[in-house]
Amino acid sequence: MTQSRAFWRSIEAIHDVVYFAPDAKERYEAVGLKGYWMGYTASRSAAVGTPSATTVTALFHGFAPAIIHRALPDAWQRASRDDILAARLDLARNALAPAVEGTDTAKVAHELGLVIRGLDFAGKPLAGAHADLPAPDDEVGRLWHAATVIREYRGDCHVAVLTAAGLDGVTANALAVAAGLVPAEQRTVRGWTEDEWSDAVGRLGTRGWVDVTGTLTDTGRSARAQIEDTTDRVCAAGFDREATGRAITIEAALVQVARAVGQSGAVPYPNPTGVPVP
Amino acid sequence: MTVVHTGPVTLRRSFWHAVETIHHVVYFSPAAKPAFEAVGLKGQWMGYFASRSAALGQPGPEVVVATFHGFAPRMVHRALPDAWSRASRDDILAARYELARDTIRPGFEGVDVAALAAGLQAGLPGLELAGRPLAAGHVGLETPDDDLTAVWHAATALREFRGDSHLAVLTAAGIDGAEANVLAVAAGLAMPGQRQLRGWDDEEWEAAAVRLRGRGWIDDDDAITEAGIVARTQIETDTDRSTAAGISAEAVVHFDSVAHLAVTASKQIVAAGLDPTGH
Repeated sequence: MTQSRAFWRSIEAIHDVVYFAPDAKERYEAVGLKGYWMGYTASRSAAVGTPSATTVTALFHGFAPAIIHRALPDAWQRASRDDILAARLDLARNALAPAVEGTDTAKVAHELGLVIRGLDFAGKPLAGAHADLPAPDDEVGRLWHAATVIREYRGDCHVAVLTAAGLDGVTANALAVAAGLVPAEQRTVRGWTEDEWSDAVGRLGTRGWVDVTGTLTDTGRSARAQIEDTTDRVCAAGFDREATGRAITIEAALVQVARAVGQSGAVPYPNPTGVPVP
Repeated sequence: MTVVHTGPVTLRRSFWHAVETIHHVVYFSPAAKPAFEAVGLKGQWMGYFASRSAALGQPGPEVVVATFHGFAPRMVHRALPDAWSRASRDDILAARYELARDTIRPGFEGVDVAALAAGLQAGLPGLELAGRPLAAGHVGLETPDDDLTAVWHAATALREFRGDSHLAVLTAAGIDGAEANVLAVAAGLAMPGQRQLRGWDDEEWEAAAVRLRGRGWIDDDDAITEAGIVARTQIETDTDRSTAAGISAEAVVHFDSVAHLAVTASKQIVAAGLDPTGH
């Protein structure tokens, strides 16, 4: 049985606060990094260690290699990995703590912490990297940490599905734009040039997923839906029985926490992740 | 650089076979254990896990569970992160290159190593790395100075590229590490000792077998069924497709132009008795 879309959207909302915190740039600059994207790239990949730009291109999927190479390995000279990870966790705590007041954070954090012990990380490197990090001591920190492992777990499953389908980073993004999941600015947000983008649209045309005007076809719509369904199935296959049970049991409380996060404005909707409100 | 993905253009099986042979003989060398112990690591498996994953940095155990696929997590946890406090990453990578160079050298008698190194290295920038972390880690390393090591480095990046694509296919099919191994044994692709070799206990192995029986891929005696054969074949076909989709047309030309050299070298490696898998 697969986890519900509400479960995944809620996990995404809790995890995403670090990207939408108004002081994200400032806080990463305080530890030595330069600019929002260096903060994003270094803080999201630091769980792996101090990975090279090529490794992060592989793990993130969807970002132009050029945009990653602008941030790495430079970031690792500018700031220590420990400082970056601590700044990220602080951002999460500051954004989440006021938002989740009055929800059952303790229970959700506890249950999600147990869920991540029942995940199979084979083929899921970013999730594995975050699972390798120690769980924080505080409730809100643990909530965010567990949500992050689970969010990257789904992301890794999605990347495997895309890679198995022969969809590269730019093509996956061009498809998401054509499908209306993310706005047209996605091209520049992810660092792709106009040439790279139009080549990708051309490849989608060859597959019959967009027409000559770049509009999604019925085939394209089915293919995109199938990618999402397959991702759900792949995710479910890696939850052991106990984790599956806990995920179902905690869902209602989790959704309440995530809605509170959305209502607090800590995560705006719609946003570049393409994930709707829980 | 614009990478043109042509999809249907594909490299021959013989090329992939050769790349695999050149890469993997390093694991079978009797010199491997002493070489990694000399830099501070302990035992065959710590040498294997640390040296193969060092291209990623100093990854934690679950990153290696994720990127290697197929090993029981406890087996990886016995080696990592311990290895990173015993030896420096640079020493591990240097020891690995030296071991590789010494191991493969007998296979390159009469082979134009400079041309092979140039051809393989020229193709690496045409690999689409998104979704392929072990290949990306190796592509991200500096190109070795000498030709023989540069051949091994490129062969390793390519081998891991196909391996990463295979992993994506397995993951997308919802096949976990234990299941992939049970299936490989049932298909006759791995020896019965595979369970112990990958660190799975009896219970985990049997649970994986139960899941594969549920899919109808193996029967009650763990023999592969018709459906299992079809599924296993599809996994290989999908791996070929995913791999081909990630290699630019220019890179295919580069690799193809030196494929005969790689094939000759791999045959000589086998003839020299360096590859116990013998193919």
